[in-house]
Amino acid sequence: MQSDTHPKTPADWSKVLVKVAGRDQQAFRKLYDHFGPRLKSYALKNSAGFSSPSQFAEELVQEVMLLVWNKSHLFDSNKAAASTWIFTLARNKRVDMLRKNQNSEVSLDSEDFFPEETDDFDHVDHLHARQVGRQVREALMELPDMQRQVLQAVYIEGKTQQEVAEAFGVPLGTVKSRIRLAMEKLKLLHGEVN
Amino acid sequence: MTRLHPNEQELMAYAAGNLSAGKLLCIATHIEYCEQCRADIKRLADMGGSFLETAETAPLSEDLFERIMSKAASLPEIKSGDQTAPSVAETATCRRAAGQPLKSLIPRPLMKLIPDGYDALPWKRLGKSLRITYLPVGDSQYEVSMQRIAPGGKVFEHGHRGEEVTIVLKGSFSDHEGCYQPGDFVVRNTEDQHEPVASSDTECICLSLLSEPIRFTGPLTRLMNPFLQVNK
Ligand SMILES: [Zn+2]
Repeated sequence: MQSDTHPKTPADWSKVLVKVAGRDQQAFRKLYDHFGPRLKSYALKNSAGFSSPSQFAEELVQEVMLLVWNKSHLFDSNKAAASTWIFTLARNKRVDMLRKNQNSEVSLDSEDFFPEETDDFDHVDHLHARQVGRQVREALMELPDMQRQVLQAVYIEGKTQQEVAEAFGVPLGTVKSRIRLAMEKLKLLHGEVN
Repeated sequence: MTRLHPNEQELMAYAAGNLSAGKLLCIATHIEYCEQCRADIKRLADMGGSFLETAETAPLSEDLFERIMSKAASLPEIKSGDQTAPSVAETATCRRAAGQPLKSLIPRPLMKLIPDGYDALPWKRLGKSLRITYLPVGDSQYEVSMQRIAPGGKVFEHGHRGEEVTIVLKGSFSDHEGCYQPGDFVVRNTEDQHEPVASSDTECICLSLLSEPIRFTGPLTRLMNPFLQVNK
Protein backbone atom coordinates (compact mmCIF):
# COMPACT_ATOMS: atom_id res chain seq x y z
CA MET A 1 0.00 0.00 0.00
CA GLN A 2 2.83 2.37 0.75
CA SER A 3 6.56 2.22 1.07
CA ASP A 4 8.21 1.91 4.44
CA THR A 5 10.66 4.71 3.85
CA HIS A 6 10.35 7.23 6.61
CA PRO A 7 9.44 10.73 5.41
CA LYS A 8 12.42 13.03 5.75
CA THR A 9 11.69 16.26 3.99
CA PRO A 10 8.80 18.70 4.39
CA ALA A 11 7.61 17.68 0.93
CA ASP A 12 7.42 14.03 2.09
CA TRP A 13 5.23 15.04 5.01
CA SER A 14 2.94 16.95 2.68
CA LYS A 15 2.47 13.77 0.67
CA VAL A 16 1.65 11.84 3.83
CA LEU A 17 -0.90 14.47 4.80
CA VAL A 18 -2.51 14.27 1.37
CA LYS A 19 -2.87 10.50 1.90
CA VAL A 20 -4.53 11.20 5.25
CA ALA A 21 -7.08 13.30 3.38
CA GLY A 22 -7.75 10.14 1.35
CA ARG A 23 -8.58 8.40 4.68
CA ASP A 24 -5.35 6.39 4.76
CA GLN A 25 -5.04 5.24 8.38
CA GLN A 26 -1.48 4.04 7.96
CA ALA A 27 -0.42 7.47 6.75
CA PHE A 28 -2.23 8.97 9.72
CA ARG A 29 -0.36 6.63 12.07
CA LYS A 30 2.93 7.69 10.49
CA LEU A 31 2.07 11.34 11.02
CA TYR A 32 1.02 10.61 14.61
CA ASP A 33 4.22 8.72 15.36
CA HIS A 34 6.31 11.63 14.20
CA PHE A 35 4.34 14.69 15.25
CA GLY A 36 2.49 13.31 18.31
CA PRO A 37 5.53 13.15 20.62
CA ARG A 38 6.76 16.50 19.30
CA LEU A 39 3.37 18.13 19.85
CA LYS A 40 3.41 16.76 23.37
CA SER A 41 6.80 18.25 24.10
CA TYR A 42 5.61 21.56 22.59
CA ALA A 43 2.54 21.45 24.84
CA LEU A 44 4.55 20.59 27.95
CA LYS A 45 6.75 23.63 27.39
CA ASN A 46 3.64 25.78 27.19
CA SER A 47 1.63 24.31 30.02
CA ALA A 48 1.81 27.19 32.50
CA GLY A 49 -1.57 27.69 34.15
CA PHE A 50 -2.74 24.10 33.73
CA SER A 51 -3.05 22.05 36.90
CA SER A 52 -1.95 18.87 35.16
CA PRO A 53 0.61 19.63 32.43
CA SER A 54 0.75 16.06 31.12
CA GLN A 55 -3.03 15.77 30.94
CA PHE A 56 -3.19 19.10 29.09
CA ALA A 57 -0.38 18.00 26.77
CA GLU A 58 -2.06 14.74 25.76
CA GLU A 59 -5.38 16.47 25.33
CA LEU A 60 -3.69 18.93 22.99
CA VAL A 61 -2.09 16.06 21.03
CA GLN A 62 -5.48 14.37 20.78
CA GLU A 63 -7.32 17.50 19.69
CA VAL A 64 -4.68 18.47 17.14
CA MET A 65 -4.51 14.96 15.66
CA LEU A 66 -8.32 14.88 15.41
CA LEU A 67 -8.18 18.18 13.54
CA VAL A 68 -5.50 16.77 11.26
CA TRP A 69 -7.73 13.76 10.53
CA ASN A 70 -10.82 15.84 10.09
CA LYS A 71 -9.46 18.83 8.20
CA SER A 72 -6.76 17.20 6.10
CA HIS A 73 -8.92 17.70 3.00
CA LEU A 74 -8.48 21.46 3.54
CA PHE A 75 -4.69 21.19 3.57
CA ASP A 76 -3.19 22.65 0.41
CA SER A 77 0.38 21.55 -0.12
CA ASN A 78 0.85 24.42 -2.55
CA LYS A 79 0.30 26.96 0.18
CA ALA A 80 2.20 25.67 3.16
CA ALA A 81 4.35 22.85 4.43
CA ALA A 82 2.59 20.13 6.44
CA SER A 83 4.59 21.08 9.53
CA THR A 84 3.55 24.73 9.20
CA TRP A 85 -0.08 23.68 8.93
CA ILE A 86 0.15 21.40 11.96
CA PHE A 87 1.97 24.10 13.93
CA THR A 88 -0.83 26.60 13.32
CA LEU A 89 -3.47 24.01 14.31
CA ALA A 90 -1.55 23.36 17.53
CA ARG A 91 -1.04 27.04 18.26
CA ASN A 92 -4.74 27.79 17.75
CA LYS A 93 -5.86 24.83 19.85
CA ARG A 94 -3.49 25.86 22.64
CA VAL A 95 -4.85 29.42 22.63
CA ASP A 96 -8.41 28.06 22.82
CA MET A 97 -7.62 25.61 25.61
CA LEU A 98 -5.84 28.32 27.57
CA ARG A 99 -8.82 30.66 27.29
CA LYS A 100 -11.20 27.89 28.31
CA ASN A 101 -8.96 27.14 31.27
CA GLN A 102 -9.15 30.79 32.32
CA ASN A 103 -12.96 30.57 32.19
CA SER A 104 -13.18 33.42 29.80
CA GLU A 105 -16.91 34.00 29.18
CA VAL A 106 -16.24 35.89 25.98
CA SER A 107 -16.92 34.06 22.76
CA LEU A 108 -13.69 35.08 21.06
CA ASP A 109 -11.45 32.25 20.00
CA SER A 110 -8.56 31.43 17.70
CA GLU A 111 -10.72 31.93 14.61
CA ASP A 112 -10.95 35.60 15.55
CA PHE A 113 -7.32 35.96 16.53
CA PHE A 114 -6.04 34.08 13.48
CA PRO A 115 -8.57 34.44 10.67
CA GLU A 116 -7.78 31.90 8.01
CA GLU A 117 -6.26 33.27 4.93
CA THR A 118 -8.50 33.04 1.95
CA ASP A 119 -7.51 33.37 -1.64
CA ASP A 120 -9.61 36.37 -2.50
CA PHE A 121 -8.19 38.14 0.52
CA ASP A 122 -4.60 37.26 -0.09
CA HIS A 123 -3.57 36.88 -3.68
CA VAL A 124 -1.24 34.07 -2.80
CA ASP A 125 1.62 33.37 -5.11
CA HIS A 126 1.93 29.67 -4.36
CA LEU A 127 5.36 29.18 -5.82
CA HIS A 128 6.60 32.19 -3.89
CA ALA A 129 4.98 30.91 -0.67
CA ARG A 130 6.74 27.57 -1.03
CA GLN A 131 10.07 29.21 -1.77
CA VAL A 132 9.76 31.41 1.28
CA GLY A 133 8.92 28.39 3.40
CA ARG A 134 12.00 26.60 2.19
CA GLN A 135 14.21 29.66 2.71
CA VAL A 136 13.00 29.99 6.29
CA ARG A 137 13.67 26.32 7.02
CA GLU A 138 17.12 26.44 5.46
CA ALA A 139 18.04 29.66 7.23
CA LEU A 140 16.88 28.15 10.50
CA MET A 141 19.01 25.05 9.99
CA GLU A 142 22.05 27.16 9.20
CA LEU A 143 21.79 29.28 12.33
CA PRO A 144 24.49 28.69 14.94
CA ASP A 145 23.11 26.48 17.73
CA MET A 146 23.15 29.28 20.29
CA GLN A 147 21.06 31.57 18.10
CA ARG A 148 18.61 28.81 17.29
CA GLN A 149 18.20 27.78 20.93
CA VAL A 150 17.55 31.33 22.07
CA LEU A 151 15.08 31.89 19.25
CA GLN A 152 13.30 28.64 20.07
CA ALA A 153 13.05 29.53 23.77
CA VAL A 154 11.52 32.92 22.99
CA TYR A 155 9.29 31.82 20.15
CA ILE A 156 8.15 28.30 20.93
CA GLU A 157 8.39 28.36 24.70
CA GLY A 158 7.16 31.94 25.08
CA LYS A 159 9.96 32.91 27.44
CA THR A 160 10.86 36.56 27.95
CA GLN A 161 14.35 37.60 26.90
CA GLN A 162 15.17 38.07 30.60
CA GLU A 163 14.08 34.50 31.39
CA VAL A 164 16.15 33.18 28.49
CA ALA A 165 19.18 35.10 29.75
CA GLU A 166 18.77 33.48 33.17
CA ALA A 167 18.15 30.01 31.73
CA PHE A 168 21.25 30.16 29.53
CA GLY A 169 23.37 32.05 32.07
CA VAL A 170 24.26 34.84 29.65
CA PRO A 171 23.73 38.62 29.85
CA LEU A 172 20.47 40.05 28.54
CA GLY A 173 22.37 41.97 25.86
CA THR A 174 23.72 38.69 24.47
CA VAL A 175 20.20 37.27 24.20
CA LYS A 176 19.01 40.40 22.43
CA SER A 177 21.87 40.34 19.94
CA ARG A 178 21.44 36.61 19.24
CA ILE A 179 17.77 37.11 18.50
CA ARG A 180 18.55 40.11 16.35
CA LEU A 181 21.13 38.18 14.32
CA ALA A 182 18.75 35.25 13.90
CA MET A 183 15.92 37.51 12.81
CA GLU A 184 18.18 39.20 10.28
CA LYS A 185 19.16 35.88 8.76
CA LEU A 186 15.53 34.82 8.60
CA LYS A 187 14.66 38.17 7.01
CA LEU A 188 12.18 38.80 9.78
CA LEU A 189 13.30 42.29 10.60
CA HIS A 190 11.33 45.26 9.51
CA GLY A 191 10.34 48.64 10.81
CA GLU A 192 12.51 50.40 13.29
CA VAL A 193 14.96 48.71 15.56
CA ASN A 194 14.43 49.33 19.24
CA MET B 1 7.76 57.35 19.83
CA THR B 2 5.51 56.25 17.02
CA ARG B 3 5.70 53.15 14.92
CA LEU B 4 3.14 52.03 12.47
CA HIS B 5 3.60 48.27 12.73
CA PRO B 6 3.87 46.00 15.74
CA ASN B 7 7.56 45.44 16.52
CA GLU B 8 9.24 42.12 15.77
CA GLN B 9 8.87 40.81 19.33
CA GLU B 10 5.15 41.46 19.18
CA LEU B 11 4.84 39.79 15.78
CA MET B 12 6.79 36.80 17.02
CA ALA B 13 4.63 36.51 20.13
CA TYR B 14 1.50 36.86 18.00
CA ALA B 15 2.56 34.15 15.55
CA ALA B 16 3.35 31.86 18.47
CA GLY B 17 0.05 32.62 20.22
CA ASN B 18 1.87 33.97 23.27
CA LEU B 19 -0.10 37.15 23.89
CA SER B 20 -3.21 37.99 25.86
CA ALA B 21 -6.52 38.31 24.03
CA GLY B 22 -6.43 42.10 23.67
CA LYS B 23 -3.02 42.15 22.02
CA LEU B 24 -3.80 39.17 19.79
CA LEU B 25 -6.89 41.01 18.63
CA CYS B 26 -5.07 44.29 17.93
CA ILE B 27 -2.28 42.65 15.96
CA ALA B 28 -4.76 40.48 14.07
CA THR B 29 -6.66 43.65 13.14
CA HIS B 30 -3.51 45.41 11.95
CA ILE B 31 -2.60 42.38 9.85
CA GLU B 32 -5.93 42.59 8.01
CA TYR B 33 -4.64 45.87 6.57
CA CYS B 34 -0.90 45.18 6.35
CA GLU B 35 0.66 43.00 3.71
CA GLN B 36 4.15 43.40 5.11
CA CYS B 37 3.25 42.03 8.53
CA ARG B 38 1.16 39.30 6.90
CA ALA B 39 4.26 38.14 5.05
CA ASP B 40 6.25 38.18 8.31
CA ILE B 41 3.59 36.15 10.06
CA LYS B 42 3.78 33.55 7.31
CA ARG B 43 7.54 33.31 7.71
CA LEU B 44 7.06 32.98 11.45
CA ALA B 45 4.52 30.19 10.95
CA ASP B 46 7.03 28.41 8.72
CA MET B 47 9.58 28.86 11.46
CA GLY B 48 7.14 27.36 13.96
CA GLY B 49 6.59 24.42 11.64
CA SER B 50 10.33 23.85 11.34
CA PHE B 51 10.80 23.98 15.08
CA LEU B 52 7.93 21.54 15.52
CA GLU B 53 9.24 19.15 12.89
CA THR B 54 12.61 18.96 14.60
CA ALA B 55 11.41 19.34 18.20
CA GLU B 56 12.36 17.09 21.08
CA THR B 57 9.91 14.31 21.76
CA ALA B 58 7.88 13.41 24.84
CA PRO B 59 6.52 9.86 25.21
CA LEU B 60 2.79 9.44 24.64
CA SER B 61 0.41 7.15 26.55
CA GLU B 62 0.27 3.82 24.78
CA ASP B 63 -3.46 3.88 24.21
CA LEU B 64 -3.62 7.48 22.97
CA PHE B 65 -3.66 6.57 19.29
CA GLU B 66 -6.54 4.12 19.80
CA ARG B 67 -8.47 6.72 21.77
CA ILE B 68 -7.97 9.24 18.96
CA MET B 69 -9.09 6.72 16.34
CA SER B 70 -12.23 5.82 18.23
CA LYS B 71 -13.06 9.51 18.63
CA ALA B 72 -12.38 10.06 14.94
CA ALA B 73 -14.77 7.23 14.09
CA SER B 74 -17.54 8.92 16.06
CA LEU B 75 -17.16 12.16 14.09
CA PRO B 76 -19.26 12.69 10.99
CA GLU B 77 -17.44 11.43 7.96
CA ILE B 78 -15.90 14.02 5.70
CA LYS B 79 -15.58 13.24 2.06
CA SER B 80 -12.56 14.44 0.25
CA GLY B 81 -13.21 17.84 -1.28
CA ASP B 82 -16.34 18.39 0.80
CA GLN B 83 -16.07 21.78 2.40
CA THR B 84 -18.95 21.25 4.92
CA ALA B 85 -20.03 24.07 7.21
CA PRO B 86 -18.44 27.45 6.50
CA SER B 87 -16.08 28.72 9.15
CA VAL B 88 -16.29 32.26 10.46
CA ALA B 89 -13.56 33.24 8.03
CA GLU B 90 -15.49 31.82 5.11
CA THR B 91 -18.60 33.69 6.19
CA ALA B 92 -16.49 36.83 6.23
CA THR B 93 -15.39 36.09 2.70
CA CYS B 94 -19.00 35.79 1.63
CA ARG B 95 -19.85 39.15 3.11
CA ARG B 96 -16.91 40.66 1.37
CA ALA B 97 -17.93 39.05 -1.88
CA ALA B 98 -21.14 41.05 -1.69
CA GLY B 99 -19.23 43.81 -3.42
CA GLN B 100 -17.87 46.08 -0.76
CA PRO B 101 -14.21 46.93 -0.64
CA LEU B 102 -12.34 45.24 2.19
CA LYS B 103 -11.47 48.37 4.12
CA SER B 104 -15.01 49.62 4.59
CA LEU B 105 -15.98 46.42 6.38
CA ILE B 106 -15.48 45.44 9.97
CA PRO B 107 -12.11 43.69 10.14
CA ARG B 108 -12.60 39.93 10.56
CA PRO B 109 -11.06 39.72 14.06
CA LEU B 110 -13.69 42.19 15.33
CA MET B 111 -16.74 40.72 13.61
CA LYS B 112 -18.00 38.80 16.64
CA LEU B 113 -17.64 41.88 18.84
CA ILE B 114 -19.23 44.23 16.31
CA PRO B 115 -21.87 42.01 14.65
CA ASP B 116 -24.21 44.80 13.58
CA GLY B 117 -21.80 47.51 12.57
CA TYR B 118 -20.19 50.41 14.41
CA ASP B 119 -23.46 52.35 14.88
CA ALA B 120 -25.05 49.57 16.91
CA LEU B 121 -22.36 49.64 19.61
CA PRO B 122 -23.28 51.19 23.00
CA TRP B 123 -21.26 54.40 22.58
CA LYS B 124 -20.75 56.68 25.58
CA ARG B 125 -20.29 60.36 24.83
CA LEU B 126 -17.26 62.02 26.35
CA GLY B 127 -17.39 65.65 25.35
CA LYS B 128 -18.43 67.22 22.10
CA SER B 129 -16.60 65.15 19.57
CA LEU B 130 -15.50 61.95 21.30
CA ARG B 131 -17.46 58.77 21.92
CA ILE B 132 -16.08 55.62 23.43
CA THR B 133 -17.20 52.03 23.99
CA TYR B 134 -15.50 49.10 25.68
CA LEU B 135 -15.15 45.74 23.97
CA PRO B 136 -15.47 42.68 26.19
CA VAL B 137 -12.50 40.62 25.04
CA GLY B 138 -11.77 38.80 28.30
CA ASP B 139 -8.29 40.18 28.89
CA SER B 140 -7.18 40.77 32.47
CA GLN B 141 -4.13 42.84 31.48
CA TYR B 142 -5.49 45.23 28.91
CA GLU B 143 -8.60 47.26 28.34
CA VAL B 144 -9.81 47.20 24.76
CA SER B 145 -12.05 50.03 23.59
CA MET B 146 -13.22 51.80 20.47
CA GLN B 147 -13.04 55.53 20.00
CA ARG B 148 -15.08 57.53 17.60
CA ILE B 149 -14.02 61.10 16.88
CA ALA B 150 -16.30 63.45 14.90
CA PRO B 151 -14.84 65.03 11.73
CA GLY B 152 -12.26 67.61 12.79
CA GLY B 153 -12.91 66.71 16.43
CA LYS B 154 -10.23 66.80 19.06
CA VAL B 155 -9.45 64.40 21.85
CA PHE B 156 -8.26 66.43 24.83
CA GLU B 157 -4.59 66.37 25.51
CA HIS B 158 -3.80 63.41 27.66
CA GLY B 159 -0.85 61.54 29.06
CA HIS B 160 -0.36 57.85 29.57
CA ARG B 161 0.83 55.96 32.54
CA GLY B 162 1.07 52.74 30.66
CA GLU B 163 1.11 51.66 27.06
CA GLU B 164 -1.53 52.67 24.55
CA VAL B 165 -1.91 51.09 21.15
CA THR B 166 -4.32 52.65 18.66
CA ILE B 167 -5.30 51.12 15.35
CA VAL B 168 -7.17 53.31 12.92
CA LEU B 169 -10.15 51.47 11.46
CA LYS B 170 -11.85 54.23 9.55
CA GLY B 171 -10.96 57.83 8.65
CA SER B 172 -7.72 59.25 9.92
CA PHE B 173 -6.34 61.31 12.77
CA SER B 174 -3.21 63.28 13.36
CA ASP B 175 -1.16 64.57 16.26
CA HIS B 176 2.11 66.46 16.61
CA GLU B 177 4.01 63.47 15.23
CA GLY B 178 2.07 62.61 12.12
CA CYS B 179 -1.09 61.57 10.38
CA TYR B 180 -2.47 58.04 10.76
CA GLN B 181 -4.43 56.03 8.22
CA PRO B 182 -6.54 52.86 8.45
CA GLY B 183 -4.44 49.94 9.66
CA ASP B 184 -1.75 52.07 11.28
CA PHE B 185 -0.57 50.64 14.58
CA VAL B 186 0.21 53.67 16.71
CA VAL B 187 2.03 53.10 19.98
CA ARG B 188 2.25 55.62 22.82
CA ASN B 189 4.20 55.18 25.99
CA THR B 190 4.38 56.74 29.42
CA GLU B 191 6.36 59.79 28.44
CA ASP B 192 4.10 60.82 25.57
CA GLN B 193 1.49 63.53 25.81
CA HIS B 194 -0.63 64.02 22.78
CA GLU B 195 -3.76 65.63 21.49
CA PRO B 196 -5.18 63.65 18.56
CA VAL B 197 -7.38 65.41 16.00
CA ALA B 198 -9.60 63.63 13.47
CA SER B 199 -9.30 64.70 9.86
CA SER B 200 -11.89 67.31 8.95
CA ASP B 201 -13.67 65.46 6.14
CA THR B 202 -14.73 62.27 7.89
CA GLU B 203 -15.13 60.79 11.34
CA CYS B 204 -12.36 58.63 12.71
CA ILE B 205 -12.97 55.23 14.34
CA CYS B 206 -10.15 53.56 16.22
CA LEU B 207 -9.55 50.40 18.16
CA SER B 208 -7.44 50.94 21.20
CA LEU B 209 -5.64 48.93 23.81
CA LEU B 210 -4.67 50.40 27.15
CA SER B 211 -2.57 48.89 29.89
CA GLU B 212 -3.61 51.63 32.33
CA PRO B 213 -6.30 54.28 32.33
CA ILE B 214 -5.75 57.46 30.35
CA ARG B 215 -5.26 60.69 32.29
CA PHE B 216 -6.51 63.86 30.73
CA THR B 217 -4.06 66.56 31.62
CA GLY B 218 -6.05 69.75 31.08
CA PRO B 219 -7.61 71.26 34.27
CA LEU B 220 -11.23 71.05 33.11
CA THR B 221 -11.05 67.61 31.63
CA ARG B 222 -9.51 66.04 34.70
CA LEU B 223 -13.07 65.52 35.94
CA MET B 224 -13.65 63.04 33.16
CA ASN B 225 -10.97 60.67 34.27
CA PRO B 226 -13.29 58.41 36.27
CA PHE B 227 -15.08 57.53 33.03
CA LEU B 228 -11.92 56.14 31.59
CA GLN B 229 -10.91 53.78 34.34
CA VAL B 230 -9.89 50.33 33.25
CA ASN B 231 -12.79 48.07 34.19
CA LYS B 232 -11.51 44.90 35.75
ZN1 LIG C 1 2.31 45.95 9.56
